[in-house]
Amino acid sequence: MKKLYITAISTLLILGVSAQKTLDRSKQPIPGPAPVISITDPVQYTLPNGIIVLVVENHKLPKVSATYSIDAGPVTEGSKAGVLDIMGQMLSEGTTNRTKAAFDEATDQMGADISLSSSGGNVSALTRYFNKAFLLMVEALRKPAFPQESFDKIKSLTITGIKANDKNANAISSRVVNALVYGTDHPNGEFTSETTVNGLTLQDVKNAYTSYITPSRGYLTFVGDITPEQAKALAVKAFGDWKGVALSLPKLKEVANPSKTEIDVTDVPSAVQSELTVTNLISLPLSNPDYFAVLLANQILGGSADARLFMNLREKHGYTYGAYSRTGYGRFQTTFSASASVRNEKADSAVIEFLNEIQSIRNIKVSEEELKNAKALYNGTFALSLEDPARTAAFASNVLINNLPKDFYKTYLQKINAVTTDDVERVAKKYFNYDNTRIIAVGKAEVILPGLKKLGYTVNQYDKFAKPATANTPIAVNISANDIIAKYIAAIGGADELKKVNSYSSTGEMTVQGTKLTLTEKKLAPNLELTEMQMGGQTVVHEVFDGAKGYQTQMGNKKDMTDEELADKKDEKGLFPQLYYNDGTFKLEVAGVEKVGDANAYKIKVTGPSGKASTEYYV
Amino acid sequence: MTTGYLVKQENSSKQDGQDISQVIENSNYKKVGNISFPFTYVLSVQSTAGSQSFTVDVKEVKLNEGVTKEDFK
Repeated sequence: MKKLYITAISTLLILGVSAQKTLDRSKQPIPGPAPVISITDPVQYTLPNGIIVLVVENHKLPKVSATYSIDAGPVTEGSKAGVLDIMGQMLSEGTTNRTKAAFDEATDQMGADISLSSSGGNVSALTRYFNKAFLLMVEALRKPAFPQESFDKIKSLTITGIKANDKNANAISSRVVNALVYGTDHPNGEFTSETTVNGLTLQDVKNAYTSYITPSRGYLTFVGDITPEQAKALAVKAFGDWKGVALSLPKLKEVANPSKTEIDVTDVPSAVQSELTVTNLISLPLSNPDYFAVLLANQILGGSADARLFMNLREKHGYTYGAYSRTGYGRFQTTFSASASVRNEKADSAVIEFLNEIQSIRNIKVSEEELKNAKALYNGTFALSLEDPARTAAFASNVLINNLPKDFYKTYLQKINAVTTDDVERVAKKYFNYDNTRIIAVGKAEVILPGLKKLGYTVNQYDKFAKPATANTPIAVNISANDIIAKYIAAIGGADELKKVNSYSSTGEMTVQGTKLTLTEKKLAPNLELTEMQMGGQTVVHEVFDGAKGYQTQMGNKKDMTDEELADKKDEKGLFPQLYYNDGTFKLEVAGVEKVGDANAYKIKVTGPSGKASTEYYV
Repeated sequence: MTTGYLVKQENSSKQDGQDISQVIENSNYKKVGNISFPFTYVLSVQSTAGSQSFTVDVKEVKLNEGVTKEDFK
């Protein structure tokens, strides 16, 4: 009954995506000469309340930006997961001095940009408005109004967002990967869910604010057309009298990698691709001399579209559109991971190739040429990044936060360029696991499981919230498909009533990325159908089937329905297709009982006269 | 297995050479005259290009009025 809508919407989805520009990858860029680096140290002060102020003076443009950032480290939110994120959003919902509307207007009048989050705030403005804009940002940080109605709105939007991603294999994969790797009691492994958000109150947000928005471990950075004296005066004026909770970095328990390589599978029955991740935990503080060799080893393995993983999995085998690897770094445990979205049918073959490439970089020395290219890339991007004065400030705060030698960034390229092929092999062995890694596959289990089970590793199954999937105890079905359909017909009103319906029309609404769309559907016996989707009074999709042929008009482009689409339409023999399921041209098969939401539902495979199959669930 | 309602449908198809899988979940069944229709449904569309989910709230259903053959030209 709803098939038309879907065709219309999925077409919109595809059109939207195919409109993206493709990059010309036929030409390889030529590496430039090794750049000469000079980095000036920012001027640094400490306010009496502990805030460290860094100033990078740069008068090229009449513009100043400032960032206040609180280094709380990874926070464990537990049953209140999501509260920090919502608290951050609530900082943009007005202050005790002015409403959100007045705040936004004041910002807009100056052409300033102000943004806030649970770890601080950011402001940029023309020099002549900067002081005012800066004080506005500070007002938002120090005097949030936290109105109840804003909280209710943000909470409901957050839940809508979670629901929208409910079947998204990509979103499920990032949640499951972190939860399995770190464990759900670790700040990196826990996740925000509908349950945790539903449980949040405005008081929780206020508590989170008191605990984490504070001068303690705060870094205030000014960059641009401002002198250190002006910046200091402004910092004192805005933050001098500010007091708050003292923060200390959390101590996290060390998490172990699996002792033997394992495969963890999460079933997403609707997934058209499988999300594959090969990942292990690493410890790689910036102060570790291995850091530079790891950067280059990762670059060679999977850092770009020239790297080994991409060349193998995409160019050579065509399993995926792209395969990459990345390594984290910093004060806390992090991960090395290699990942790709692969065709379901090729999930097992892709796992083999991932492992082959990891094995190869661990055991076979990379060529001088590969290492030279990887270095050239770092030299180039590093020099380029220095064009941005904010980068210099970020370097300075990185040095402080990570307790690094003062010349860490000044000698950065020297250390990159000193890495040898021996170093790469040594760190690949140490940081890219092979015998004790974790392979996580999120996709259509029905297709990927049989192949993955043949690879010789332990295979575990998890649900989409990373809980061990309990083996489905099949519930005996002692009812025929025809009886289930008959029960459905009786439940919605009975065959006699349904047969009285000659036409049907409905209007509905949906919101896509903040835009409201109106849907109109009309049906006339026996099986004429019309679907229209309107946006702001304008028709964006118009689809018609007159019983024999049909077309779709989308943004003015008319396209006749294909034979396949027509066959699909013709399979629907009436306004209530189920009335015709027992006319001898359909094949029905009860495929068991499955959960839909919390309820058990009969799963019926319906094959129409055209041979096209669909699956229906009746409770 | 109490109400008898249709709560979910899955289809797959090919469009412009891409596999698309579509799931509809029906809920909020309400009576229009003597017949029940779902007034809320969630459409999920997955393709190699990405996946999206939409919730449709049906505002109004009319039976046997206002539809003519002319509408399907």
